[in-house]
Parts: sequence; C-alpha cells; structure tokens
Amino acid sequence: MKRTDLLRGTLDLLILQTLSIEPNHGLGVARRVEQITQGGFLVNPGSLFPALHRLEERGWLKSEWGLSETNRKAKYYRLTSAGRRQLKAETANWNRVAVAIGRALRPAEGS
Amino acid sequence: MSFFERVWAVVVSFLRNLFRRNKVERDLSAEIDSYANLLIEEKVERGMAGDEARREVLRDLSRVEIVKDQVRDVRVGASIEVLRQDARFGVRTLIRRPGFTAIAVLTLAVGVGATTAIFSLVDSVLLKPLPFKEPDRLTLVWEVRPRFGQPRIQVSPANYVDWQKQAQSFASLAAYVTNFTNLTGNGTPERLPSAQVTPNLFQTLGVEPLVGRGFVAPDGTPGQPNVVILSYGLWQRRFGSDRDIVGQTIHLDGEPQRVIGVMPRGFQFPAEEIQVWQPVDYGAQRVQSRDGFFLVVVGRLKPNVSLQQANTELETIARTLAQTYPQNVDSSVIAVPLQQDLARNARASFLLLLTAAVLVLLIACANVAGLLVTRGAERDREFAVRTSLGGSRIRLLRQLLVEGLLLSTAGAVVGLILATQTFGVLKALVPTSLRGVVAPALDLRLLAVAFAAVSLTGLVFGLVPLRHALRMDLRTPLNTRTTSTRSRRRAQAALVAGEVALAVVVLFSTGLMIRTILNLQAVDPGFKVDNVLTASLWMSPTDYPTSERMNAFHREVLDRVRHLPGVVSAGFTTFLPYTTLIGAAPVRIEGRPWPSDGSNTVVMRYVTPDFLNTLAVPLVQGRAISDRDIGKPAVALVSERVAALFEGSPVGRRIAFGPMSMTVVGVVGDVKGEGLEKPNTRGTVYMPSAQLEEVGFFTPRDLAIRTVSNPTTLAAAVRQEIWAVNPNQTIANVRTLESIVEGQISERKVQTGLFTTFGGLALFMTALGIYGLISFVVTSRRHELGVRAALGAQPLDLVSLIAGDSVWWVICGLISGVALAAIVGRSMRTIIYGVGPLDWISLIVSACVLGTVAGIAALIPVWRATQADPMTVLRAE
Repeated sequence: MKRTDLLRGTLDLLILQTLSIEPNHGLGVARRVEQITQGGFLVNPGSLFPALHRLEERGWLKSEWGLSETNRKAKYYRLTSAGRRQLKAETANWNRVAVAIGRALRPAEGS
Repeated sequence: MSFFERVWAVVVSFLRNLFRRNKVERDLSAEIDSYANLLIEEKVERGMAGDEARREVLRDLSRVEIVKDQVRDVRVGASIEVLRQDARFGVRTLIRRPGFTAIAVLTLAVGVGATTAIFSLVDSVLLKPLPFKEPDRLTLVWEVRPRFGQPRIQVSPANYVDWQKQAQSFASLAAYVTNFTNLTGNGTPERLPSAQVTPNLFQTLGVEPLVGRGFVAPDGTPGQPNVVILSYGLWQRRFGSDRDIVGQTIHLDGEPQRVIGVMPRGFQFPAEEIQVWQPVDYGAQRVQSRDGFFLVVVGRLKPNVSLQQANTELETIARTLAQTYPQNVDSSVIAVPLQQDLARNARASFLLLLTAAVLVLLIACANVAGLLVTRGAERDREFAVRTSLGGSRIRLLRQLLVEGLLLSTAGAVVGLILATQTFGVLKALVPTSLRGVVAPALDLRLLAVAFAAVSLTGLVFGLVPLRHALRMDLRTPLNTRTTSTRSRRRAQAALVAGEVALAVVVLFSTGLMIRTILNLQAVDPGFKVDNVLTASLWMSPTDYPTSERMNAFHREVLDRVRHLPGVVSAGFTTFLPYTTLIGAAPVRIEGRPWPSDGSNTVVMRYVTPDFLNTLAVPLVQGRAISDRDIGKPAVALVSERVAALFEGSPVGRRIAFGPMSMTVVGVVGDVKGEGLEKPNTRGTVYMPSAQLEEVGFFTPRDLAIRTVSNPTTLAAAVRQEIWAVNPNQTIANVRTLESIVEGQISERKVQTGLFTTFGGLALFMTALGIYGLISFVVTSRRHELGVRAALGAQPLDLVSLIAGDSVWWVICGLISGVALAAIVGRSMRTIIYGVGPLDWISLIVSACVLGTVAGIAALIPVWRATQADPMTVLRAE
C-alpha cells in the first residue's frame, strides 16, 4: 500500500469514527478529528471534502442540509448502516495491522 | 455491505454526477461556502475581528477551486467527465483549423470508405452463410475428366443416379439443369428461365415452399401429371400473389402444367433469374447417358461426415464405375463446399482488392499522421504552456489520443457514407452464381470493421505525435522559436517513404490490371464483333413439333429480317459464342483411330446458311453450307482445330457423332468460344439446321443480324418481324454481339476501375504527403534559408538544402515499393492475362508516375521558398 493510500484510509477511518458518535458538518468533523487525535491530525479542506464525498458515494455516509448550533446552514453528514458495518470492519482491520506493526517494531526497540 | 448495495451506490452516484452535474456542482459550492462561514464564526468566537477573520479564511480558502477539483476527482465517473472536457476541447481545436480538419477527415474517409466497401463485398460473397439450412453441409459434386482440359465438368445423368444409389456420405444428392420455357396464356407470352430439378432439390437445400407443397418422389417420372413450382417474383408479377394459384393450370411451352407451390421471397437457386422449377427424375428414366455431361449435382453431407470422408467414398464409387463402364475410364469425382465453389473465381480478386483498399487506408493514415506531426510542431508551445501551468502529461497524451479518435471517427462516418454509395457498382462483382442471393450491404459486421479501422487509425495518430510530446523539453518551445523540428522532419520523411512504397504497390497492381484489360480487348475471338444484333428465341415444341415447321419458321424470320433496311445478313445458331459452353460431343473421324485423350471432343452447332457469314467467321477451305443442302446427304463444316485431327485435307472426308455421319465440305476459322482468356481446347463442327432431324436441344434459337451501322436501332423492327411470323413467339436478350463479348471482361473492367481509383487516390495522397513534408521543411528552416539567400546562396543551393534527405527518403520508399510490388504481383497471377506478375513496364511506369508526381508536389513549396524575398523573411522574425 502506498503511503498516501495509508493516510487516506486513516482519515476515512477517523471520519467514520467521528460520525458514529453523532452527525456533523464538514468543519465539525475536522475539529472532532483534531480533538480525538489531540491535534495529531490537522485536517485541511483539501483532504476533508474529497474524503467526505468519496465516503458518501460509497454509500457509507448520507448528507443533508441542516442548521448549525449558530443557526447557519450547513451540510450534515451521518453514518449509514453500511457505514457502521464498514467502520467495524475497518476498526478490526486497523487493530490487526496496529498489533502486527507493534510486534514488528518491538525487537528493534529492544536492541 | 453487500456487493449489490455497493454497485447500486456507485451507479446512483455515477448517474447523478453525469446527469445532474449542475445540481451537484451548486451543492458543492454551497457546502464550501458554509464551511467558510462556520470557520469565520469560529475565529470571531475566539476573539478575532470579523474583517480579519474573513480575510484570513478567504486567504486559506484561496485555493477553493483546487479543493473543488479534488472533490471532483474522487467522484465516480470523474474520468468520463475529463474525457468530455477533452473531447469538447478537441472539437474546438479541430474546428479552429478547418482546412487541416477537412483534409484529414476526407483523407481518412477515403481510406475507411474504400476498405469498408470492399470488405462488404468480401463479406457478402465469401464470409456470410448462404440462405439455406446449415449451408456449410452443402456441397457441389463434379466429375473430373482430365481429358476435357477443365478442372471439373458437369455430371452425366447415369453417373448421378449411380452416385445417388451408392454414396452413404450424403443425406441427399440432388441435381438440376437450367433451361427456358415459354409461358403463354393470361398476358403477353414470356420466355422464362427455368430449372429442371430432381424432386429432392428443395429438401437438400432445406427450403420449404411459401405456398403449397414441394416436389415429392413420383413427380417428374414419365407418365406423372406435369407439375411446376413458381418463384415468388413470378407469382407476384404474373399471378397477383394469389394463394389460390396452387392447383391451377398454367401453360408452359404450350403444355398444361399444374402449379403445386410457390417458393419464398429471396429464394434464388441456382440463379437469380430462374422463375419456374419443374421436376425431373433421372432415376426413373430408362435411357441414360454417360456421355452427355450437363447436370449440376448438389449434395447435403450427413451430420458427422466430413467433406474428406465423402470425397474418399466418392472416389471409391468412381473407381468401380470406371471399371464397369468404358465411358468412365479416367473419370473421378470431387465434392466441394457450395459457397466456396460459387465464389471460387471471386476469391483471389476480392482479396487483392481488399489488399489494395487497406493499402489506401494505410497511406491515408500515414498522411494524416504526417499532418499531425507537423501540426504538433505548432502545438509544442501550447503543450509547454499547459505543462508548466500544472497540466499533467498523461492529460496531454490523452488529449492527443482523443483528438486522433475524433478525427478518425469523423473520417469513418464520412467513409461509411461513401462506402454505401458504392454498393451499386460493387454488385457487378458478385459472381453470377451468387447474384441475387447476396449483395454488399451496410450491416453490423461492416460497422465493426469500420470501428476497427477507426481505432487503428486513431491510435496511429495518437501515437505519432505522442513520441514528440513525451520527449518534449519544456524550456525549448517556450524560450526559442525553433522546436525539435529535426526529429519531426525525420518522422514525417519516414511516413512519406512508407506512403511512397505503398503507393508504388497500388499503382503497380493497377498497371497489371490495365494491361490485362488491354490484352483481353486485343484478343481475336475469331469473329467480327461490331455491328451485330443478337436475340434469343425459345420456340415452343408445341408450336413447332417437326423440323419442317421449325425450318420454315427460321426461313420466314430470316427472310423478313434480311429485308429490313440496313441489314447485311442474318442467321440462326444453336448457341451464340460465350452464351453457353454445353453441347459438345466426341467426333469419330474417318480413317483415324479414336483418341484416348479426349482431343476429339468438339462443340456441335447447327446453323442456318448465313450464320457464319453474319459473324464473319472466315471460310478457309472448301465451300460454305447453303440452302441447296436441304434434302441432300448430311454435310458439315469443321473449324481449323477439328481439321487438324485429319490426315491431310478434311474436305470430302466423313465424320460421325454416334450413329449420325456426314461429309465435311469446308473448313472455317476457330472461334474462341470458351472465354476470351481461356485457351481454346475444342474445335467446332457446324451442321446445316435444315438437316437437323429432330426438334430439340440443338435446334437453332439464337439469332444474329449484321447491320451496316448501329445495330440497336433495329431492335424494335426485328421484334415486329418475328411477331409477324408468330405473335406468341418469345424474344429475349436482345443485345449486341459486342455486349456479349464485353460481358467477358465486364467484371475485370469494374475491378480495374476500382484499382485505378485506388491507384489515383494513393498517388494523390502521397503527393499531398510529400507536399506537406517539403512545406514543413521550408517553413521550419525559413529563417536559415533567408539568411543564406541574403548571404548570396543561389536558388539551386536552396533547393538541395530543402530537398536534401527528403529525396533519399522518397528513393528508399520507391525501392521498397518495387520490392513489395514484386510480392503482390505474384499473388495476382490468377487474375492477370497476357502479362507477367513481374511486368517491368507496369513497374517502371508506376515508379515514374510516382516519381514525377512526387517531384511536382515537392517543387511547389520549394519554388515558393526560392521566390521569397530574403529580407521580408528575415524582417518577419
């Protein structure tokens, strides 16, 4: 897997995770991702919007226009049931990869 | 997520992106706007001044279009969207250069048109299955008799009956012979081409009558009621498509015959013109001949029996028959697939025509590719600018491919339209045995071929400029005026060399065809062709049951015709030359042994006294036949080929056909009757029609009239005179002798016409290519030439500078063209006549013509360059 793919996959996963808690709009999603990664992930619009649209086209998200807390018109994304299944699968997958990579890196730390 | 759901989501998005593009786009803009507003709000909340927050956000979002683009890129069907843009841009680019586009599209149209037109012919004649049931199981079965000097001959009835009894490989074996019959009653009398067929013919072909029944076993046996089946055309034309015709009686040759069926529309066997079928059962006839060869035999192979197995079995049967019957010595049998047999003469010439057409297409491609290469030079700047502004190279390459495909698609559409216009002409090339059954037509296969041609040409165009686009160094075209013209020049020169080589091949083939036609026209048929009107009469046996009645009819008609103004002489014969080959028999010559090699097989013709005069067949020795021979002992004239069978002069000697013997009274010239291009294998024996004892096969029915001037003006008057003798007499094929002889080469003429067209196109396109190359050289080196001219270079120096290696490229093309032509010439051997496949005259002429045209095409831009005032050129920079 190329590096960009890995990153993109990661962002997708984070978006799905964020939206599994509650529906949100683009900026909200970006802020939540920054929050839960404790600033480890800065989400710029150039990667946020393509990712949202891609996930929507795959049927994992659904979008509709709504009003923000400040009464502004905003496009809200929410997870579909297919998206929920995908999140589950991706999470499992991620954990497997994370464990595997963690194992792979341990001896190097030890030496 | 199930597979179905996933596909569904993709399809929905795809359709939405494609058809609701505006809404999707508006939505995206609104979404980004709202994002910006929320961001501003957030910043203000954190204590930033409203204006400043706005400015900052807008600065961050300055690349908002790029964000949108990135979103567009991930959408389903994004590549289609890009393609749409490429296509739109391509169309605009092409429209901006109407001259270039028109030339390119027309050139391609000619290439694609030529290829698809000829392919339609090849397809309809050689590839498409015949309209019979399982046509690949059908074969024709022929006798092979080496002594007749022909690869295969028709079958004698007795042999047919024996094969039918013994052969196990065939589900059925049918036979037919074609004839004419006069239809009288309701309406004008009409001579109808007819076929006498064995009752199982229609079953063998697997075709059922549309109305009524087909023939069944006892039909055609002597003593059975006369029955007949009509063609769809005749049924429509003469009987108003009346279904009640079945069971009614019509009169053919004066005999009542009951109609039992009508064949379906489009059923044409064995020939287009056949209008009635009558049954004949050879197995039930007692008198059977093994010496007369006139049946065509059609067999349907049993399932699981291969053609080879059938041929092996037939071979065994033929060997047994040869041992049993002395007439069958050295006879063997061959079964050939029906379609292959019907198209056998067409195959070689069609494939050659197709080759020529493909060569024209290739030349067209090379030409347009050359145009694109030079045009690429002009576009280097555009590409460089696009690349430096961030356009990806892949996108540029795709742009080039799309443009190539656009051009070739336009070319193909115009080409297909051109091709459909040629179908009328091409129909003349369908072999007579298939005419009516098949015809060139626009169909899916043709479209597929055109599509293949388009993809091929499109790729070629895409790829040629690609090479340059790939190697392009961005700085060069932007910084300087010159581009990589050197490699472009070389690429274009190589294309031109290829064009020249292919054009030599096409021109050479054209040369061979033209020489063939000239040779054929120079062949002496043995009689004088001009100013003779001919007609075919079919005398009903009921009208003329005896030879006396028949002779009286001949005399009366000839008397009346001879008295028409402008008529020199007139006569009847059994068959005019080139109208039929049948009517031959072995002759016994007094005092000579019976040869075993068949050299004594001669053509038998009964003629009225003036017939040979009318055709101007020269009398070499002895006397002609005349009215004085009536009621006298039998006499005959022999042609020189027959005379050579005698020892010494044949005059006064006796010859015999079976029990019939006669005295030779004269020798006449040979008629080249088997075909203009075929060597004469048989002489002819002419006998006076007045001495013909029975009305039948040999009864003279073809009329020839020599006139002082244009014979066609007499046609109406001749008809009137014949009808004055018998108002019910049918008259067919009123035409000049010249047209009969021309018929021998008409197919060749169409072929030659096509070759000439292809040759002309090849020549013209190559000239265009050379013109383009030299023009490009001149423009790209204009500056240099100007400098040199200003420094005192003479025009001749400039010419050699410009032409330089182009000349060498053209010469290379010429040489490889000559080598290719030698190969192609060899494959033309079967369709050329009187000229060798390596004919050096055609070769030199085609090379010279090409060289001259190339020179002229090259000189125009060169001349223009030398005329230009160097100062103007230099100032223009």
